[in-house]
Amino acid sequence: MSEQPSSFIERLRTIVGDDGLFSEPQQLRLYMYDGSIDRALPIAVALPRTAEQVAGVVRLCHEEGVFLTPRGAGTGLSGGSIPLCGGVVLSTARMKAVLAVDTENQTVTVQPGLVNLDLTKHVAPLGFQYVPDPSSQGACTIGGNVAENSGGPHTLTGGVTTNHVLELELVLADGERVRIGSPAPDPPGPDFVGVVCGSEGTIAVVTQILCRIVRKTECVRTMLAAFDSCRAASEAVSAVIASGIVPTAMEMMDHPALSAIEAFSHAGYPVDAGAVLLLELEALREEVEDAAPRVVEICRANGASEVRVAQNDEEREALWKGRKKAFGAMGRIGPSYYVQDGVIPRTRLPEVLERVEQAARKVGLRVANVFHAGDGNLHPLILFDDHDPDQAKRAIAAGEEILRACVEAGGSITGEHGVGMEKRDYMVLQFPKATLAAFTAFRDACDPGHTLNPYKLLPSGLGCAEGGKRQKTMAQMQELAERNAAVGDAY
Amino acid sequence: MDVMERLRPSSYDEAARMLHEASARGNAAVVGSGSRDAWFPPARNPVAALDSAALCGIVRYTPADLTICVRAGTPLADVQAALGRERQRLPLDPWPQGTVGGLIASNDNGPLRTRWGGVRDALIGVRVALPNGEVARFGGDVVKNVAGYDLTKGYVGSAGAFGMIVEATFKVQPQPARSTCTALTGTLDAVATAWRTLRERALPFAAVEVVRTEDRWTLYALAEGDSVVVERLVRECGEAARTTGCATREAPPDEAAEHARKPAGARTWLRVGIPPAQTASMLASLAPDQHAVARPWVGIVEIFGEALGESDLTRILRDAVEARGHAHLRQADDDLRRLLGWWSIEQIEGGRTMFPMLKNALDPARHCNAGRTIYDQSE
Ligand SMILES: Cc1cc2nc3c(=O)[nH]c(=O)nc-3n(C[C@@H](O)[C@@H](O)[C@H](O)COP(=O)(O)OP(=O)(O)OC[C@H]3O[C@@H](n4cnc5c(N)ncnc54)[C@H](O)[C@@H]3O)c2cc1C
Ligand SMILES: Cc1cc2nc3c(=O)[nH]c(=O)nc-3n(C[C@H](O)[C@H](O)[C@H](O)COP(=O)(O)OP(=O)(O)OC[C@H]3O[C@@H](n4cnc5c(N)ncnc54)[C@H](O)[C@@H]3O)c2cc1C
Repeated sequence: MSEQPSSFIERLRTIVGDDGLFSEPQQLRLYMYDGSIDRALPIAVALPRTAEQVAGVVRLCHEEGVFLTPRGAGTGLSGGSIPLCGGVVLSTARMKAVLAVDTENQTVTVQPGLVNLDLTKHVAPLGFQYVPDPSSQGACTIGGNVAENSGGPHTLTGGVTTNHVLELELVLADGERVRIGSPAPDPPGPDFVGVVCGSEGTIAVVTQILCRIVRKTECVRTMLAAFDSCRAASEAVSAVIASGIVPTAMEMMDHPALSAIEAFSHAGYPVDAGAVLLLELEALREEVEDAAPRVVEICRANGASEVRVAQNDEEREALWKGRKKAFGAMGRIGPSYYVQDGVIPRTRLPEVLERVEQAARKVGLRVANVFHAGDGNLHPLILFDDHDPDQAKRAIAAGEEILRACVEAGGSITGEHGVGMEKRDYMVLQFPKATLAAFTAFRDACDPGHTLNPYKLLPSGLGCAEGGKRQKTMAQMQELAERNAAVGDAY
Repeated sequence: MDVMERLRPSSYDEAARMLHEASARGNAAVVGSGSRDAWFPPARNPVAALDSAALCGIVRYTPADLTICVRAGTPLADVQAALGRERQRLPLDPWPQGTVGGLIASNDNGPLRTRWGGVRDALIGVRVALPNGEVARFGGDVVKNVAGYDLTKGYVGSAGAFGMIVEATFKVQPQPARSTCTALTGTLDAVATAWRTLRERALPFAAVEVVRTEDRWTLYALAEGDSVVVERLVRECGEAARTTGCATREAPPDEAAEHARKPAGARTWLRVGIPPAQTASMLASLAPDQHAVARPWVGIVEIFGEALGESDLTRILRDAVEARGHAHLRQADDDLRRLLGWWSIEQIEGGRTMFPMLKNALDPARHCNAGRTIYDQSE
């Protein structure tokens, strides 16, 4: 840095105004966290109101070589919005506007700090919805969703964030403002919007998003099927797909998860079951009425001891209630948990779930599974006691073992939570050297100084060296757990 | 292009080595079946052309996972045939003889784009031979994957600028049990009211195409799915026809597809992309001898014919750009080409900044298929 921090902060203040800057320690402490296990303190938090202000902040950091970490709501589960090397946090909390709704073209223009659920609430009275619905939708932002390419329970047929974004306005690492994509289909040239989705704030700050919205489906039917084991439930998932029916959601909860959820939210789940599947069909009325009994039959044929079909909206909400509060419920069965996000081909579910169980048993910990079975996107929650530093170490070891199992089954280390800082050193498990070199070269080409969200996404050996050494102290793990439980409670 | 050497790698490593050697000598072109060669500006002075013809066949296919991994030289028709044996399909429908690599690189989408999205929505991973002699893999075989940058998407529409695609993995879907195409014929106003009504009712038609047939317009609505779905959709078409005064009939399966193929046979062919709500006004602005096939729920209008002249095209291009859209002059004689170039687009600055970033990462020497995309015309 070529100047004293104080004068740097004054220059920041001239860009975002007095009320757009936090630099007091007690304010900064609120920005140390996201939903994962790491933490770090920024030197300042800028809360711009406009894209010009964002560009001003980014340019200043670029010129002065100060690290800058974009931040939405901080619900991320991979440490993405943690200012690992200090520097400035750029929060989009004051950029929450819906700028335009175009029902004819079925699009909405929004600022990045808009909360996901607020977008859906905004268009619901017009008969529309925004499809990607992460379980954190009551808090997470559209900008964060774009940066993580977030999914949710309904992505099986609906796709993830990248499938619902048409155009982006960005501030690049040097402060240049650009627009990519188009309100018209298939613009010529490479799909730049697709490349920026999921880039975790490392190549640009997203300042405006043109989202696709869709009309609400005519008929929704939700059902719950109870099985003896995860294996039986997994086989039912494959059998449903094989029958030619593709439900919009197929969520699985295993026995430990069920007990915790039931104790926490009294959703009325069958606690004796070995595993439960939550299935949702969304289509034309005739189609749902035709498919629903077939799904029930397939579940029964695969050993379901009980199948409940929601008869109305109230019953449907009750069925979802437990699932949506699942992470928060884990506090009932363990002081803390460490969640993984590996993906595997759906047909490998039974064997990989067994390996998950073994990985936890090997280190003497328990694991609960609540996940997007239809996509093969696992969320094993490794339960540990945060007062025992050794358990934390073992939880991390089990996590790594699980990710190895996912990659060996032909899958991925992350399906929706992102690499962030948490999984960057596992990237080598999944990708050959040539791929990692290309990622690094792309990062270098976009942001040669790596000032945007440094030490994220790329393996630490390939990113900028030194400084961002990961620390996993017990205290951090505990805070993480509390925070997760608090966030989880909200949904 | 006739002096250049044609290379047919038969393995991924060989492709990378050949591309590396060729690009050390000069520019290297990448070709598939060549079916769309004329749609893009020619590669600049290539010393060699890498042809994907020997990189052919299915690599992995587990029907229950609803994904398929194929070599990039495989014709789309072969992929569909393999899927068809398991009663599945890839919901992409451009020219079946074209290769999978060419399909991705030219990001061409057909009628099914209406319901199922385009190449970018179906593609989940690629393996590419890079000019540095390495084979890199982006994305993967699973339907959800956010590990690392989604460079897979950078290859969609890349026109070969970032190396040779050697393998691709797609999401696939069950084949619909039944399909019925309903044709609604009337004035443009009537037909446009019908497609708007059907869209407002959120009806899941697989494809909705509109074509000019003599002095009237015909809307083809393709219903796919189980019998109950198809029957309902056909009923809705009947209802829309009644309220708008259109004549309605069941169309033979190939009728709409024949119309969709016509632009490729014309001397002049312009593909316009606009926000979908602008489709009707774009069609209304055409003279009677200007043929059109449009996808009104998507915002694609193919304009073609023998009589399209410079002034007509200039006006259409201006309208497209004013509607915040883009246009691609796919076929034209040399005179028109000289006057109008290849593309018009409302704004390309963002791409002009981002293209070199991808290029620096993947083809820093800029020898790979140089000159073929909108973003490296001036280099
Ligand atoms: C007469 C005719 C009619 C057609 N009709 C239709 C139609 O009705 N609907 C429709 O949608 N399409 C139609 N097409 C287009 C079509 O053929 C494409 O669908 C085809 O998929 C392109 O593949 P290709 O192998 O022929 O690509 P090519 O034409 O060989 O290449 C196209 C572009 O992709 C690049 N490329 C090719 N392979 C690779 C690779 N492996 N890696 C990187 N870059 C690569 C090339 O450099 C080039 O820039 C038609 C074409 C013709 C000639
Ligand atoms: C209880 C719980 C349930 C969850 N369920 C799901 C789920 O079902 N599916 C799912 O996919 N995720 C889920 N998540 C993870 C998380 O909510 C998502 O990753 C979400 O998209 C993060 O949004 P955010 O606004 O909180 O972003 P943050 O956590 O603040 O940031 C996430 C990343 O995005 C970057 N970023 C934020 N805003 C911008 C911007 N404007 N421009 C550029 N980069 C930016 C940050 O730098 C960071 O790298 C869950 C989290 C919790 C706590």
